[in-house]
Amino acid sequence: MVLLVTSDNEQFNADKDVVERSVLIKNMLEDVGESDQPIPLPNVSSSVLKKVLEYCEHHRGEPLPSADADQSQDETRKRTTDISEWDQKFITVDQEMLFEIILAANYLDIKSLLDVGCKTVANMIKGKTPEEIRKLFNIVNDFTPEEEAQIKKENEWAEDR
Amino acid sequence: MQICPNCNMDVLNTPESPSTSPIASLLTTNNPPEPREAAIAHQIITSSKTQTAQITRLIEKVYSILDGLTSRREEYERNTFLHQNVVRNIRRIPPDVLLEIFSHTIVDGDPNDIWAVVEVCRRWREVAFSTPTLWSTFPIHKGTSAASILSRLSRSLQLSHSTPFKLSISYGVPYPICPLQVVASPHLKRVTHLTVGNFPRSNESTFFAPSNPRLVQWTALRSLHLQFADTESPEASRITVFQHAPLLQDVDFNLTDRWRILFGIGNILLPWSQLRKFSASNVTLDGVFTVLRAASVLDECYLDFTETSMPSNIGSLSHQSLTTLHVTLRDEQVAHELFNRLTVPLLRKLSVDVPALDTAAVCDLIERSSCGLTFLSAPMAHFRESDDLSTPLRRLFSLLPDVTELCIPFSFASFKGVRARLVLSLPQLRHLSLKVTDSLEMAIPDLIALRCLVYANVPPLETIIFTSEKCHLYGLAPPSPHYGGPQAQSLQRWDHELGELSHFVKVGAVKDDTGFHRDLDRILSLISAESESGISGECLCLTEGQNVVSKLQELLGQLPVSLSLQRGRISAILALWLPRIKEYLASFGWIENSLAKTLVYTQRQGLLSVKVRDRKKDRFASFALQDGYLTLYTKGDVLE
Repeated sequence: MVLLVTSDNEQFNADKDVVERSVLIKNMLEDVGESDQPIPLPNVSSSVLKKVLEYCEHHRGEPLPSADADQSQDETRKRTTDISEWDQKFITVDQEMLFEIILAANYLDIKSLLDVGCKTVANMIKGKTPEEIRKLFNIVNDFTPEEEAQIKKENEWAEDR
Repeated sequence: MQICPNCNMDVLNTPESPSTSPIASLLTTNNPPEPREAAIAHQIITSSKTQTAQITRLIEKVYSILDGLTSRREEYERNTFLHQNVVRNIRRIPPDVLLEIFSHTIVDGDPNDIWAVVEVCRRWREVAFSTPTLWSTFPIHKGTSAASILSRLSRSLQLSHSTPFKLSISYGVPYPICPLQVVASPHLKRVTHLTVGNFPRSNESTFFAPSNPRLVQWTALRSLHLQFADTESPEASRITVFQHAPLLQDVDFNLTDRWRILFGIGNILLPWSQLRKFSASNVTLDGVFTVLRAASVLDECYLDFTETSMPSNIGSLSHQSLTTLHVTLRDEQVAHELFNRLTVPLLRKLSVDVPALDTAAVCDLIERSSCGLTFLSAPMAHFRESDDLSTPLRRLFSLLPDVTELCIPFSFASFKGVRARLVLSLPQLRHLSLKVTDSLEMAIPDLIALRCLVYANVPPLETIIFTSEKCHLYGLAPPSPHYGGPQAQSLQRWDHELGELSHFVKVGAVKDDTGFHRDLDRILSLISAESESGISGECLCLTEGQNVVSKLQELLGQLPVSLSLQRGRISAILALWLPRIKEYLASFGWIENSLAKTLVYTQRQGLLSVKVRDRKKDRFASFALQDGYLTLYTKGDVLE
């Protein structure tokens, strides 16, 4: 078992083969060797770690993407925006939690979870106008009027260019 | 006292209520007042009006204060929202993750999505524009104006810098200038994949058939996909520009019927001798033979014909490098002829979509070529009838000692006597897909016998997929020793009654028939009541259960929309039963998928996700489990 300590000082006990889906934790465990020392995760809150561990537990035992995965494998992975049924249910959370999970997956280096999160956000973007995307994610339109004019111009073809 | 800072008014000093009237008795009668009483009344009227006016002023002040407070509250709410935005997690997403998200938007999506992304905010725009690979694929833009496509193409070419470029352009819209000749021309040497839709527009014919083809450099071009339009003049058909593309290996032609008849592929000059992969729809058979003769190192070939007769002067052909061949043909005679003329000694993967093609033609091809197939898919093939019905199947199996994946039609007659032999004669077989052609009545007795094949559990056989358009395959799950009893009897009774009702629906109008309504309601009530107390998954899977499920599904399809109540009740019963069936089948290692009309037996343990895909898009994809998914293939739309 491995003891993890979150940013809000909660402690989580989890199986080694579950937490080792995180490349960060796997490397940390390899570095410190056999030890009972808790692993601090200052960038992850307890509510998010709980979700992350749920994901790792479900995917326990599945092959991890190899570190030297060549570009073609990466391409194959990207070629589809499919998310499995379980993953889809898992990632059906409010928007703040979704981004928290993405940030945690990125920090903990859990490629498959990061993928699920990014695909989910990409699917939310698809088919929307810029204004709809801004509204969805509460993004401020910070373009200057000059930039707005430039964007408008980009969508027109000038034969003399 | 409480003084308002804005108006210096004592906001709590409101006028008191009117005092008791000195002429109260007059208020409740209709008597005329005495002059003294009238004077008192006038005095009270004047004083009340003064008070009313004062109160009105006070109310206006209060309203104005309220408005001020409401608007101040809104300001604070907006302020909260704006500051909440500042700490939202989306702002913390680092550029590399943002880029990962953007790269997923260009997968299977609308090309407009990435252009929407760059118009969201400065940060998104900067991240997207700073990554050349995000712009190195230019897909076909549907429903976008020609001006916008040209502008985006120009921008994509610029933003992708010098990275390899995948360019798709459709001539479905009238461009003011030639996209390839004018806009993309300086970048052609880094184009690796080129797709031209609605080809060709005559205004680019000088580009596709230049006077000196060597001037156009396709130094990186590997893949070429040309989709021919129906409306062009024959003169525009000549294509010579790709003759000097040293890396070109993969060519895909999609011709319309008219083009097929007019030209075949005679006007298209390509470096055929270096091609490894050739796909074509609607090319003529002699066109294909011309290509195969010229493409001496071809590895994969995907062909889709509408040919209805075989040209007589085509000759025979032996291809010494082809390993993968897919053929779709409407006419089995032409397919037969084609297979008789081909010899392909290195063939490993063969997929044939030809209705009623005699398996003997496939066997002849394999025998003549002496090829060791590892993959054979011929779901629509036909086993010729003979005295011993299993002879054609035995012959086929004897020619497939190396096959690991096999998809063939399944009829109980042709499989009789082969079951035990199957696993022995196909020692490498891992994944078997059987398209059941028999109807339900024929199937049931043999389904039980077929279980031997499934549960024989002989490695390396891992997966068996049954597909049937005609019958439920639930009966493949074995019955327990105590199967039967009252549940089976109830199902038998319902089967009989539903059969009569179904017959009635088929022959007559049932909309206003109260007798029919009464009978239907009664049987549905009966089924609902007993269902809840529990008809087991086992009973539902076996003969009687299958019959009742089929009849309910049939009724659901037949009943008019006006009988929505009854339709709802049938749906409710099925919704209760189908999970039970799935659960029972799962306990024996079966996965049922009604979308693909399939039932799958797999040795693989644990939870599985099922996807249904169109086989057309991935002809030689494994029948097996991959990446935690079991992908089932069906024809038509992708049902994911």
